[in-house]
Amino acid sequence: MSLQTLRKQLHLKEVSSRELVTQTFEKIKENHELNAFITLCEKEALEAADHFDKNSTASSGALAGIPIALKDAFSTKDIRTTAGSLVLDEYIPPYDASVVKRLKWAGAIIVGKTNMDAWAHGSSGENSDYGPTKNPHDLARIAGGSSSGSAAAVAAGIVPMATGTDTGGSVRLPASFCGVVGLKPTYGRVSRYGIVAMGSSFDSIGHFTTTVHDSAAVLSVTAGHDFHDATSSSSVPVPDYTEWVGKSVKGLRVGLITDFLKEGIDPQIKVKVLQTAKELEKAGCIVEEVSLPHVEYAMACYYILVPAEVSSNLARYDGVRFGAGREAFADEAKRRIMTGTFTLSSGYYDAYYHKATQVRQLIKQDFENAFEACDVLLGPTSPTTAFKLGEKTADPLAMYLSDVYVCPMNLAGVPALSIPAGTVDSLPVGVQVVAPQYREELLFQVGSKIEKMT
Amino acid sequence: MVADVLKKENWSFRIKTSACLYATIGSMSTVDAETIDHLAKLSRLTIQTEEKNTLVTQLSDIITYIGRLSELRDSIIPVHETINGLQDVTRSDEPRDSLSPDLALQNVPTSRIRDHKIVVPGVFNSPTDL
Repeated sequence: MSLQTLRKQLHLKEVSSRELVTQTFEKIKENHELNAFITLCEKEALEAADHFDKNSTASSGALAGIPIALKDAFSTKDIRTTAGSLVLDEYIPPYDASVVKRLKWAGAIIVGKTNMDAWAHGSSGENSDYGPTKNPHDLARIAGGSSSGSAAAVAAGIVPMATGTDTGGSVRLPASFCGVVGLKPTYGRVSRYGIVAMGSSFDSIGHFTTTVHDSAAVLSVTAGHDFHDATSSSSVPVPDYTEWVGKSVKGLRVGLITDFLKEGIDPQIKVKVLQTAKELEKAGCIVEEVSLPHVEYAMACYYILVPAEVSSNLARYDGVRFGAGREAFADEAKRRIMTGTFTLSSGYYDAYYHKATQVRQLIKQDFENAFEACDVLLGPTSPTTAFKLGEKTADPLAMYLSDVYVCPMNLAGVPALSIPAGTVDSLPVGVQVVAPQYREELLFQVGSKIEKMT
Repeated sequence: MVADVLKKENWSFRIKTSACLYATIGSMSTVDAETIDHLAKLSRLTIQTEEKNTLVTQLSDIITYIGRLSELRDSIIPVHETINGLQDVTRSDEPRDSLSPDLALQNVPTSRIRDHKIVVPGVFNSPTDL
């Protein structure tokens, strides 16, 4: 059920927050096979629900009384936060991430922390030290990563909203695989403070919902400047994004990213994207083909810059102030730390890291050029539907390449929204709308139109 | 293809060790067991012997793949500090609340706490003491 509907029901006293929270924990139990949660907070959630039921007013926050889940990379005061890694198995943060504070101010009730690839390193959810998350549409398949548990929990109807982080597609890819709406905001639109860092110049703090309206409503809560995050924007105001939901798309210029429709894409997914473009055209959009000439280098660029930032960010975990020692890092974290150490090393720095910063600039320029001709871009979120558990675990490079259509947006820092666009062989498919930096409202405008068509 | 490009350019790469020594560790696309040992040392990671062969193959694949950026010849491209255009962001130098000592010690292993302080590995000790 959507957040919007639950909010209405709570407002009309058709249901109490305690009932919603109780139902949520029943659903978690029913869906335990998904392995979507690492930590549950039943006692705290019920207390918060009772508080809401006693004290709610018409002016209660936008998420008041509504159960939500948080990716386990979000620091939660007095609630264990593992980032999916045994390094942090016993870590209890002494403070809330800024986004968690905002969600609490809006009245949201946290029911638990969701499973994820350890340190957010992964495209499938299989790199979690707590076991893989399963896809609610087919338990033999992956939910997508790295925000695997959040996507699965929303897709299974356990919670109407769950948070995620998107460093190279970690919200959009699982959203596409699980058939839910996934938002990657502009880099700097939502504070990163208190989120376990992966690639600090890439990390974008997003969320999963069942509808585009809900996605807009949640961003209106989470977006904004934060004193604790100097990269969060203080100059761009935060509108009520829901005002753009359902707005006419007539006259909007939509660029179809042709680079994503060449080899490598499942032909049936390509058809879904082309159908979406056609429907948008029927709705009055001007659809044109666009090319991002350097996008073919995006994956190589990403897998230089992000491991470099990973090796630096994970250097802090030494078991001295908190967490276990470095011997507790699992395979993927070791691979990324070592790759990053390699590319940052003397003698390699110019050929890899410096070169990649230049290529990042070229990719960003590609997007800027495309946005001179178009208001938004359209493309597939993933070249395939959810793959089988274990299918790519032995080949890390093949796993990395799952992010081929999602990581370029993180290099450019632009926002993107993955919206369900039907199914292929009974598995969900997502299409992706991309907007210029700080123009998330366009995502919701076009996204709500796409949602209506499917 | 990447390997051919590298061969043509005859690039030689060196890696800086923690002791500020330089050691040649081969071409861009070559990762061997020695490279893994060296990277593990720099990264403060312990790699088991049985992991090494797999890591040689996997890192070779990854490094060959990312090496394809050398195909791009644009050499003078201005690089901005931040992707969203923010520059020189500073905050005013005013005191503000921070974690209390008790909270800061909350997650420290008890074996490392002495007199309400954290015992850290000595800077000049051997890296194996870390």
